[in-house]
Amino acid sequence: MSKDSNPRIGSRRTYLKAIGVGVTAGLAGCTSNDGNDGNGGTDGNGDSGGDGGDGGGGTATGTPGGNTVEEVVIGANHPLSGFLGAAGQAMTNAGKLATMHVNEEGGIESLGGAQLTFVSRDNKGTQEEGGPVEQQLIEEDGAHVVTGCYSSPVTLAATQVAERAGVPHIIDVSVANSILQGRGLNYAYRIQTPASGMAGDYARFMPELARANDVTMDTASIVYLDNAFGQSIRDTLMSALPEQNVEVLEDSAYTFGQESMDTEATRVKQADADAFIFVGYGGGGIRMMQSLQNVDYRPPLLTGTSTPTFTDNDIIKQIGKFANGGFGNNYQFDFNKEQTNKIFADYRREFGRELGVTHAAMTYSVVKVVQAALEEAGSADPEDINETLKTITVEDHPAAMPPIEFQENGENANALSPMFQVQNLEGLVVWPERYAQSEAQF
Amino acid sequence: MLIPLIIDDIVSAVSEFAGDVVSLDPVLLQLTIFALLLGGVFALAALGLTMIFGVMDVVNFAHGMLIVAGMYTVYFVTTTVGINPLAALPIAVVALFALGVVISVTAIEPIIEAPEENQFIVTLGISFILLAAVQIFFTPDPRSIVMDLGRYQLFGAQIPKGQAYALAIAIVAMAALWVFLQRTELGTAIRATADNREGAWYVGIDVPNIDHITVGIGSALAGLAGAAIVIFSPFDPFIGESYLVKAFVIVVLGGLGSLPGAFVGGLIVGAIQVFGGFYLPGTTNEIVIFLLFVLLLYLKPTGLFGERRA
Repeated sequence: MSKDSNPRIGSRRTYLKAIGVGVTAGLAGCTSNDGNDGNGGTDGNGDSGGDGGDGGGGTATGTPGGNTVEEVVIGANHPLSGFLGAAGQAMTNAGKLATMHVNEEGGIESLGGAQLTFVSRDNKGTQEEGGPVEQQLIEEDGAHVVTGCYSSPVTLAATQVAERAGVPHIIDVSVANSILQGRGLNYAYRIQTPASGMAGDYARFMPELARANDVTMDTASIVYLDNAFGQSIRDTLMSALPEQNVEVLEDSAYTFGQESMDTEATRVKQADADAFIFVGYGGGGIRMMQSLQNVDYRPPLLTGTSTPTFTDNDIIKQIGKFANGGFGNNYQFDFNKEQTNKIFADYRREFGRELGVTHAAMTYSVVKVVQAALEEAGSADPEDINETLKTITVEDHPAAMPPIEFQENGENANALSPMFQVQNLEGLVVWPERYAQSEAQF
Repeated sequence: MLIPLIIDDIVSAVSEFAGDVVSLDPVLLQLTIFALLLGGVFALAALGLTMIFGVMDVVNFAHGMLIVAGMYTVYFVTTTVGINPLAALPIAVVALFALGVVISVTAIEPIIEAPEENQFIVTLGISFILLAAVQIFFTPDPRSIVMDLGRYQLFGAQIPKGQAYALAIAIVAMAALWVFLQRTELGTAIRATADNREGAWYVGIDVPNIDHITVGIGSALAGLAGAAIVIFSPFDPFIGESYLVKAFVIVVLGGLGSLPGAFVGGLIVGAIQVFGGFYLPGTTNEIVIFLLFVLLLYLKPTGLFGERRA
């Protein structure tokens, strides 16, 4: 379009461009954030420590110990809206269901049948909400124990507040190693496998599973999300796979929100390794599978770790038949336990939809851990609960992992992310055999 | 320290690329095809943004969400009525044209003479409203209605048909827009308004009406881009951000307000993303795109096809 001679327009355009650079850069920052598809066993990375909002040192509202307690409050700091809302809702629902089950069975026996109350507040999946929401749960709702927060940056902020308040925070889902490791927290615990553990489980289980079925897995190629979370998973794989005699031939990074992954698929095709490993969120996983089809390539072993790509049925359905046969690993319910069937049936009845989010296994298990801690402590005082958590062994939980025991740093010593395989567009646990729903098919 | 590292990466990448050219590595053809396909889609995504800016001097930061609105329009029509996503394309175009006119009348026209900051705030506000609406109605989960159209083969390289259709749509849309602007009375009025708003008033052109039509067309083009993208790519409510960023880089690269510039800029950004993604380590290609963006602002602020306005 041709020019005019309006001096105002000239300066205005210069101004607009200058502002545009700033706003675009800002938006670029937004697009490269550690978002989450809200479907996987992963969340945004948590390497940027939060300050827990502006909450001062809140005080715990623990009730005195003894058998006169009528109600014990479990606070849930979950994303109930926004990008992660679907997962957060499912987690909160699972927590509510678990408290309902505990209460139906008579509540906390050692506290004279005290009832559990599950109070959930919305952190919107944003780090700046993590601290204030934790504060509200503790101060306004009187939470004796808190859980959450799904997104690692949010959890970083929230655990800081819980630490100051002296209230135990049992992380249901938040993958970043940095949340518990190196922070010296005394009131924070985690049930799920952290990032390094999840990738470590993959590096151990996948070659084991392949070789047990006479399938070669001597080489691998990796495509990972280029943020702190993806990089940490990739680094773990790069060190753990060679220990299992798997050589990494190729690793490619992609950015969050990347429009096409055809280039990465081309590199994977060129490498033609025995196993392809995808690391990233659901949207990226769907796009990656589409791109592999675009270059007409299916790796001998189509796999992923720390991704919902082959473990979340909603994502699997979006991918379609190409996902069939794909392997991934994630925490999950133990389907060989009777209580799991009841959980699924009751969830459907209570909330009018299928329980299709694996994170729910972790939130439900948190409530079971709290129940066990309360029974053991015989007190609802957060300090007593905290001391009990350090020594407790919880066998009664529905997750596909051994009894839950917390190490000194708060990590679950027995956390496990079993291998799934997509069979008939459904992610089923196939390894270790103890937790398997189905046999692996090659 | 970062710049020398990036330069070192670029030198290594160029060397590797030159080696592939000398050895006539077949991967070059595959990458060229992907660069063309992606570049065409980027150009289509940028077209509406550059048009609105060219006529009204408004940088529409709701553009990315308008692309997303196009995606979800097709998704809604396809999943509720059950028609082919390609058949839903015109519906997305009409719906987004109407949405654009509504946005123009209610939000943009009242602040057309206001300071630029107001325009940023208003269009960003519209973007947030659209994002919230999409999340409420469709949830934040990723969706896919990718059509299994298969692939063409060219000397061993794959051409995904879905992306090829999207490129064809982009080319047809650009050609149609050019014909419309050059050969119709309304198009002439739009160009006149773009050239000189005050002059257009004096010769009897209803400038506010032209503005509404321009925003409508720009939004329709965004909707068309979104509708074309869902043929071959999964999507979610947040994908608009990355398309907006790319579109803004493209229109600055090509020249704000220049339609040919948007096309060429799209191809350049597509090529950097594809070839850079293949030859450069990590996600350095993204840095290269933004370096190019900033460099161009310094060296040729008018962009490749833009004209200096005195």
